[in-house]
Amino acid sequence: MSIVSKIPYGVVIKSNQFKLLHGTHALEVLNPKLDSSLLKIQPFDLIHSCTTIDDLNGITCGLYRALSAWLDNNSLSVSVLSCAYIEELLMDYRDNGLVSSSDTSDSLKDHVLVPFSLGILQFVKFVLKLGLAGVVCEEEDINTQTMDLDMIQNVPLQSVIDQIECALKWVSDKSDVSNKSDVSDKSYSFLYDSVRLLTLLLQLPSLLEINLEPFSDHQTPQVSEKLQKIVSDLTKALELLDKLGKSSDYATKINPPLNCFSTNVQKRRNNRSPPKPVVLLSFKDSIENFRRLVQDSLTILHITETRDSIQLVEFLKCCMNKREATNDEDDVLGLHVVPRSLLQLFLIRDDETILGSRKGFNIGSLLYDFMLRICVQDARILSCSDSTIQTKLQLLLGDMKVPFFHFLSCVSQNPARQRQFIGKEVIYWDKFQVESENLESSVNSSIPDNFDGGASFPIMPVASFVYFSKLISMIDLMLKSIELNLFKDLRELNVGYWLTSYLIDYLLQHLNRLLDVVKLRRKQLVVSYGKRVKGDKKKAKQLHAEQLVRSESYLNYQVSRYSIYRTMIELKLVELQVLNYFGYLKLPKLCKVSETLLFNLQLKPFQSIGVPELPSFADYNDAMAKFNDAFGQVVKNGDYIYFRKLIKSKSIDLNAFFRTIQIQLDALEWPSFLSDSIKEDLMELKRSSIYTELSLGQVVKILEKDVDNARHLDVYIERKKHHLYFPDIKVVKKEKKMIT
Amino acid sequence: MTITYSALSLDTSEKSRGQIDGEIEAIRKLVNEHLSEPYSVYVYRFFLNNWPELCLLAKSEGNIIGCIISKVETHRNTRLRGYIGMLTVTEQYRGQGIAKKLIDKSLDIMVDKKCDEIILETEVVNKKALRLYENFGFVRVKRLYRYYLNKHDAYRLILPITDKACLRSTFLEKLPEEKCIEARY
Repeated sequence: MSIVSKIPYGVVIKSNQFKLLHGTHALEVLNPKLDSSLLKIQPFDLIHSCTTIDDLNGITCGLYRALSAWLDNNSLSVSVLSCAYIEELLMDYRDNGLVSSSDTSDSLKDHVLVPFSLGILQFVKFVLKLGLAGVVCEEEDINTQTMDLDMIQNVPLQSVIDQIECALKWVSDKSDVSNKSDVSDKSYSFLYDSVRLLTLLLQLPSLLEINLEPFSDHQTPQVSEKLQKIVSDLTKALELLDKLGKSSDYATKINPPLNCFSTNVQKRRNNRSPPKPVVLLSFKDSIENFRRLVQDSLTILHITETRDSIQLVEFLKCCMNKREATNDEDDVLGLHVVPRSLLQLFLIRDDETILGSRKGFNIGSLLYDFMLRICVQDARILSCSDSTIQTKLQLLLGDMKVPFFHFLSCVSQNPARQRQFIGKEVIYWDKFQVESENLESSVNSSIPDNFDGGASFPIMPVASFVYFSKLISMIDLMLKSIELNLFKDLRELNVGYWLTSYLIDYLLQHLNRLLDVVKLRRKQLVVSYGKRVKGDKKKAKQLHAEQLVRSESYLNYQVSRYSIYRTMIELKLVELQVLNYFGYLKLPKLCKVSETLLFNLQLKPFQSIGVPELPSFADYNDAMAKFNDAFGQVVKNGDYIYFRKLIKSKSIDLNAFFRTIQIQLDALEWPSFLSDSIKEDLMELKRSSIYTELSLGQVVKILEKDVDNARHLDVYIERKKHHLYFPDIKVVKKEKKMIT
Repeated sequence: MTITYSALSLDTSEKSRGQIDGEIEAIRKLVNEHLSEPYSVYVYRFFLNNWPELCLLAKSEGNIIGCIISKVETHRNTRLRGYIGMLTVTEQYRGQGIAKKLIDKSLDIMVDKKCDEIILETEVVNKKALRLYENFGFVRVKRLYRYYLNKHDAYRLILPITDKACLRSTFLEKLPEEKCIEARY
C-alpha cells in the first residue's frame, strides 16, 4: 500500500509490451456492458421442448430467423449459436466427433430437428468460408466469430443433405398419417416446405465446384447440367419462399419454446464480443432476406451467359450498382452479402483463372481482351517483334492487372467500400497512364502508330485505354460520393457536380478520340486485307471488321450515357447556382476554416492526378462569379425567358439522348438480362431528369412571380425514389405565418 | 443556471485523489449512459491519462453534465491529427448550446496544438450530431459500412486545418521526431 501511494497520480503503471490503445478492444471483467460472464443462465429443457409439430416448427422457423439475422450483420453468438439445440449438437460434435440422428428413436428431434440443424450448420459453414476468403470485410459484411466452436468442418455436405432427404420423407409419411388422424395438415406442410427450402439452399456451395470456359456457348454437358440444377433449385426456392411467406399468420403464432434461443451460449462458450441480446429477425423480414439471397444468386448466375469481355464488365457494373429499395433514406443496400461474395469467388479462382477456365483464361487474358475491344485492337506495339519492347509491354500489362483486379473485386464490396476500391483504382490507373505513355512514346519512332496527321499525332492505344479507365473511375468516384450522401449540403453538391461535369467533358473528348482510333483501324483494315479477298482471309477480315464495329457501337453507347449524365448535371448546376446567387450555398455559420480548404479536401482523392489537370478553387470561384454576373443582369431585367428556353432545349437534348441510347443498346445485341438491367437504370435516369427539369422550372416560376420570393425559400435534398446519382432538389416558397 | 467549462485535471495539488477519481467515474457514467458503444476502462484511461487537457467538462452546480473527450497524435508520421472520441450532454441540459460550446473549445485547443486536421466518426442516422459538427465545417470524407455495434453506418468527418489535410500522406514529408506526438501510455 505504501509503495502504491508513492506512484504519482495520473501515472499509469503498465508493461512496456503494450499501449493502452491496445486495451481499448479488450473486454472488461465485471463491466455489465462488456462481460458475458455476468449473464444469467436461462433454464431450458432440451428433451421435452420439442414434442409437438408446432414446437418443431417454432424451432426450425426460429433457426431461419436466426440465420437471416446473422446474414443481416449480427454475430453468430446472438443468432444461430444462441439456439440450445445447435449448441448441443456442436458440443456433441466436439466431444464425440460423430453426428447422426438416431434411426431407432421416433422423436421429432432425432428425425427432423437434428438433420435440419445440421443443414443450417452446413449453410453457416459455407458462408463462413465465403467470409474468410478475404473477398468481403470481416465484421463489416459478415461476422465470422464462432466462439471457437468447430462448425462441423469434417462432416461432408452430401451426408447432411442425405439426412435431410430422409427427414423430408419422414415428414411426408407422417403427414399422410396425420391427415387420417385429423392433425393439422398446415403444420406438416409448413414443416415440409421449411425443410425442403434448406435442401435447395444447400445447392449453392456446389457453384464453386463448377469450371466454365468464359464466353463459350459450348460447355461440357456435365457443367451445363450442374448449372441448370442450381438455377432450377434456386427458382424452386423462390417459389417456396413465396409459399412460406403466405403462411405468416401461422408462423407468427409458433414461437420457439421459451429460452430455446438465449444468451446462454455467450456465457458458456468463448465469447469475444460484448454480451448482447439474442437477435431473430421477424418471420417476414427473414423471408425477405432469403428472397434477396436467392434472387441475387440467380442474378449473379447470369455471368455464365456473358459472351465477351465488354458484356462481362458491363454485367459486373450492373451488379455493383444494384441497390435494394429501402424505406430508410439513410440505408444503402447493395447485393446480398452471400451472392456478392460468391460472385467474386466464382469469377476469379485461386489460380487467377476466370470462371475456372481449363484453358487458362485468366485476369490478364480478360484485361487484354477488354483492352482490344475498347481501342487496342491492331495496335502496332502488340505485333512488334522487338523482344525488349515486348518484355516492357508484358511487364506493363502485368502491372495493369492490379487496377483491373480492383475493378473486378469491387463487385463483392458493400456500397461504401466500393467507393474506396474505386479510389484505389484511380491512383493505380494514374500511375500506369504515365508508364504506358512513356513506353509508347519511346517506341513510336521505331513502330509508328499515328493518326493520319503524322508523327505529331501518336495514337498511343494502351495509354488511351488506361486514360479511358481512369476517367471512368474518377467519374464513378464522384457519383458514388453523391450516392453515399457524402456531399452534405447544396454547396458541396454544387462543387461535386461541377467537378463531375468537368471530368465528363474530358471523358467525352477522349471517347471521341477513341472513336477516331477505331475508325482509323477500319480504314487500315481495308488497306491491309485489300478489297478483294476470298476464302479464309475474307472470313478473317469480316470478323475483324465486325469486332471494330462492335467497339464503335460500344463507344457510341458510352458517349450517349455520359452525355445524359452531363446534361442532367448541367440542369442541376444551373439550379444550384441560381440558389447560390440568392445565398443558399453559404458556408455553415460556425465554420472555422476557409472555403478553399474545404474545396481542396473534397478534391483530395484526385490530389495526385496530373492529367486531366484539376481545377483550382480560384477556377471554381471564377465560374461561380461569371454565373452570378450574368444572372444579376437577368434578375435586373426580370426576364427569365432564357431559363425557360434552356430547360426546353436541355429537355429536347435529353430526350434525344435517351432515344439514341435505346437504339444503341439494341444494336449492341447484349443478352436481355444485361440490356434489361441497363434499360431499368435508364428509366430511373429519365424519371430523375424530369424531376430535375421540374425543379429548375419551379425555381424560375417563383422568380417570375416575384424575385423577392427567392429570399424566402425552403430548399432540401430528397433522395428517396430518385436515381442514386441525381437526388431531387426540392424548392418550396416559405409560407407566411398567419397571425391570429 | 450557470454552466462552467473546464478541462479534467489530474493534478493532485489542485484536487484530492478522491475528487479526481470521482470526476473520472462521473465521466464514465455519463458516457456509458448516453452513448450506444460500450467502452472499457482502458478506453477512458487511454484518453484521460494521456490527454486530460482534451477532456473538457461542462458543469452545473459542480456536477458534470456534459463532456467531450479528444486526443492529438501524429498520423503516419506526416501530420498532426486531432480526434474527437466522445461527446455527450445529459438530456435535461440539451438544447442549450452546451455541446456546441464543448466542440468549439475542444477544436480551439487542438488548433492551438498545431493539428493539421481534426477527425471523428458519427452515426449516419444521428442527424443532430452531424448538424452540430458540420456547422463547424466538418466534411464527410468516407462512409463506413455497419461501423457501430448497433449496425449503423458511420460517416468519417474531417475538419481541415492546414493544407496538409488535403494531401495524401504518401505525398507528405515525414515530421521531425520532436514534432511528433505519441500517446505516453
